[in-house]
Amino acid sequence: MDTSKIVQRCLHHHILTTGSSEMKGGSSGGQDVSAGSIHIWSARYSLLERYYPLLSTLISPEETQKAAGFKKPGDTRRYILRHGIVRVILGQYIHEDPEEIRFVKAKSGKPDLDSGGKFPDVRFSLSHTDEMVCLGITRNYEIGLDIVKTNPRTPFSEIEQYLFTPGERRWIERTILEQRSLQFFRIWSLKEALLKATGSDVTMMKEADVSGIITDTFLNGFYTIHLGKTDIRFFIHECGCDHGHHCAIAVNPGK
Amino acid sequence: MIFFIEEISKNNAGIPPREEGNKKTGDACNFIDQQEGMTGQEMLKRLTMTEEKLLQLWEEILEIHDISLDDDFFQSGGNSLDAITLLVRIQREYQISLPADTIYRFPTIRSQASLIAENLNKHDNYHRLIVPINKVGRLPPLFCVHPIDGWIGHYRDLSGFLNREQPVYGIRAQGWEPTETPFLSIQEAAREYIRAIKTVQETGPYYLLGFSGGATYVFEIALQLKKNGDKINFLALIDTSAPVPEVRAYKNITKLFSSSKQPMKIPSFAYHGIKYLKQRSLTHKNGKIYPLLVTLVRTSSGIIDRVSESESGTITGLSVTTGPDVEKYLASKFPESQRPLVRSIMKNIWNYTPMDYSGNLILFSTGEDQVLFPGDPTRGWGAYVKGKLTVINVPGDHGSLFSSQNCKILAEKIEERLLMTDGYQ
Repeated sequence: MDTSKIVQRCLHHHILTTGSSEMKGGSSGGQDVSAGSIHIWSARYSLLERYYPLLSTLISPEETQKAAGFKKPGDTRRYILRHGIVRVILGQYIHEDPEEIRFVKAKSGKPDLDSGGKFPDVRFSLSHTDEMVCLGITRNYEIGLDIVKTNPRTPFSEIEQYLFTPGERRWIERTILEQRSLQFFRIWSLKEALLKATGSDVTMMKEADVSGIITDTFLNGFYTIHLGKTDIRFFIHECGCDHGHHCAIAVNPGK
Repeated sequence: MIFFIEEISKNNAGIPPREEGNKKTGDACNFIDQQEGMTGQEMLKRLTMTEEKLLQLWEEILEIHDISLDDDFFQSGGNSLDAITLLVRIQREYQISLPADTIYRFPTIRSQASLIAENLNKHDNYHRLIVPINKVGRLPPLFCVHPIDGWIGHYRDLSGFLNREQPVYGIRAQGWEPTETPFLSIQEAAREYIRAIKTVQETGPYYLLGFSGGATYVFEIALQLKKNGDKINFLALIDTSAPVPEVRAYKNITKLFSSSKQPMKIPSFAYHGIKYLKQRSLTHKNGKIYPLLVTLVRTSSGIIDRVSESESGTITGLSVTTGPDVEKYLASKFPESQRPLVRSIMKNIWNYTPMDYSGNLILFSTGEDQVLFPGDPTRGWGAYVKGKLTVINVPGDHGSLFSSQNCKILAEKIEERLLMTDGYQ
C-alpha cells in the first residue's frame, strides 16, 4: 500500500508562518519547510488504526522490541502506530523510505534524524496522548512541541505549587474558576515545549517562567522567556485541539 | 538504534539514569542492612506498607491493575504529567522532598519504596527542638522561631500559603516538653537554636524568620551566626518592636501616671521627657544614661508581675494598659501547664538587650508603634541595624495577622522578599 494514502486520509497538516526575518532557512528536503515556517502534523489513532498492518512493518526491530515491553496492549499498539506514522512523515522531508530512516541522539538527548548528511537542517519534535499524535517540523531551528489532554483528575494545585513559578500561580489564581484547568494545561504544555526546544532537564521546569508572557488569548508570535539565568527569545504558538487537547509549540530561533 | 524520546529529556545527559527494573531484592535488602535499632522484620513491614501505598497510587494514576513491584512506570502507561502527579502525591503522603526527575530515576515501586524509606529516616537526625513544617522543596529552608507561647503554630498557617517548594522548619521552645527546663536567657537559647538549625542545614547562607517574641530570638541567632562567620541571606521579623530596656523603663515610668486598666493618655511633659531619654540612650549607649536605664529596669522588683499588658502591649508596644498583674493575661491565654514556660520566655525577652547587627533586616509590620516608638516606622530596630532595614506594611493587627486572609498576603510579601534575595532560587 502506498503510504501517501495514509497521509491524505489520516493526517492534518498545518503550516505556521512566523512572518519574521528572525527565522531564516537554508536548503530543505522533499516536503519543503520554507524559511520561517513550522509544519505541524497531527493524527488520531482511531484513524490510523486501519493502517496498522502497514505501519507496523515500518518500524525497526528495536522499536518492535520496545513496543512489546508495554504493560497495556493499547500502549503497545499506539507506540507502533505512532512510530510508523512518524517515519512516513519524516520520510517525505528527507527523501527516504520510512523503514530506512535512522535516528541519532543529539547532545541534549533529543532524537535527531540521521540523514547521512543530506538534510542536516530538518528538526522535529513528537508528542502524543492516548488519542492523538502530533509532530512538529522546522528547518535549522530547534523545536519543542507538546500536546496534552486536559484531564480534570490532575491534581492542579499541588503540581502548580511544585513546578510553577509564583507568578504563574498568581496568574492562574486570577482567572475564573471554570478556566483554571485550561490555564494550568496551557502553562504545563508551554513549559514542556520550551524545555524540549532547549533540550533542558525536567528539573528546569520551574526555571522556565511564562508568567510574563501568558495572556487570556493563545500565544502566537515571538516572546522572550526567562529560562534559568538567561533570557531566550522563542517563537511560540498555542492551539486548542478537539476532544479536550491543548498543544504548544516553541521554536528557538537562536539555535 | 536510538528510540524516540517523546517527552523532555530528564537530565543533562538527556536520558534518565533509570534503576534496573529486575532488581528483585537489592534495594530493599541494602536498605534494611543500613538501619540501626530496627529489626529486619519491622523494616520489611514498613516497606511493605509503603509498597502497598505506592501500588494504590499507581493504580489510581495509571488506571491499571495487576502491577508488580518491578514494573516500569513509563512502560505501564505513565507519561510526564503522570510522573509529576505521582511525585507530588508521594511528597504529600510522606512529607518528603524529592527532585522533579525522581520518577525517571526510580521508575519501579520497589525502588520508590526504598527511596521513601530512606528519606523518612532522615529527619530522625534533627535536633529535638526542630519541628519540620514542610520538608518538601528545593529552595533554601526557612527557619522560624517560636513566639512567647513556645510553639510554632503560626508558621504552620504561614507555610500553607508559601510556595510548596519552600521548606519550613519551626524551632520550638525548650520547656515545651514537661521534662525540659526553659533557657535562662535569649543568648543561651540562641546558641542551642543554632545547634538545632545546623542539624538541618550545616552551613549558611541562612534564612530566618521570627514573629512577635520569636523576632527577638532570630535577631540574636543572626548576631551569633554572623559572629561565627556564617552568612545570613534573609533575616525578617514579623510585627514586633525592639525589646530594648529603655522601652521597658519608659513603660514603667508611664505606669506611674495611671492606675486604670484603660490605655492611658501620657502627659505631654512625660512623653517628651521619656522620648528624649530614649533617644539619648539609643544614640549614646556608652554614656551614663543608658546603663542607668538598664539598671532601673533590671532592678525594678518583680517587673513582669507588676506590669500588666497584653502580648501585643508587651512585645509590640501597640497598646499600653496598666492595672493588675500579668497573671490575668497569662491565665486568659495559656493553660496552666504552659504558663511557666511563657513567663520564662517573657522574662528573657524583657531582660534582653540586642547588640548592633551589621546585616540587613526586613520588618513586616502592621503599623507604627504609636506608644513606644511614635514616628519611627522601624519600631526601634533602626537603632540596632547597621545594614539596610526595610519595613513592609502588612494588613491586620498583631492578633489578626495570621487570619486566613491576612496570612495569605503576609506569605506573598515574604515570598516576594525571598525572591529578591541573592542566590535564593
